[in-house]
Amino acid sequence: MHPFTYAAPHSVAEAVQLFAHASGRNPRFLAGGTTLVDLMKLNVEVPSHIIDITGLAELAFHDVSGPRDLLDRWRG
Amino acid sequence: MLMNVFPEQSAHVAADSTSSFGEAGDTIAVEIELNGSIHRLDLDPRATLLDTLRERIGLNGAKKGCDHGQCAACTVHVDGRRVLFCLSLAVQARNKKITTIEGIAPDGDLHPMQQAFLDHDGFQCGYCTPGQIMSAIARVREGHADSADDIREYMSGNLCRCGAYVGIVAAVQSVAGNRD
Repeated sequence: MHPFTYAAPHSVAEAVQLFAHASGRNPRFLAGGTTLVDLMKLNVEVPSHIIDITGLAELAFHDVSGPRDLLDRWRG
Repeated sequence: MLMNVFPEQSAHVAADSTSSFGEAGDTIAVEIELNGSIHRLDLDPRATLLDTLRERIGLNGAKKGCDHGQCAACTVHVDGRRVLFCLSLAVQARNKKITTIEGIAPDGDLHPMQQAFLDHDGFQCGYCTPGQIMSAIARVREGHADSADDIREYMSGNLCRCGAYVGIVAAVQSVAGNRD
């Protein structure tokens, strides 16, 4: 695996700022890691910066509100 | 509608900040609570938790089967939830509580799930067994229904190439049925 730098921001705003700061290189957000870490082991993904968003309480929910027309269409 | 998926996470805001980038190649100082004792480690960000556990700390219970998140032989608990350690970076365990197969029962004793795997022949070669047992304990704690079908569903990520599945389901079912 290629070297990268790691950061674990404390808010979504901080995470976005870190990503912007590293743009032009190859930053990646780390959420579950199922795909990203696996592909990093194979050198398919070669991130320069890893921004770990797993601990962000702001993202610890699913929002299932919003337009339902797609669901309704699917149900016929 | 908002559903809080990980309500416990807000309790784990890191005391030591890694909220900015260091230089590539830097190690990161991390404190991990492993089976009740605190470990302080300087970690290369590339190190997986599984390699750190096995090669630096010397706990070989969690197994490296595929190293790609497909077999679940490396299943371990982080803050009580089951996690695949081969796909976790060790630095992610900062300030988390980790329990491995070595930490589920006091020395010399067996956890009821370990005893159940013995009683019901829940293994042949035993390579997948630590992961199976860690998944099984979490499954019981998660409170999923106790039917054989539900056990098969919620244990479906744990592969056993010996095919001891019938014994594994029986073992898990016996513990699930006996819980308080």
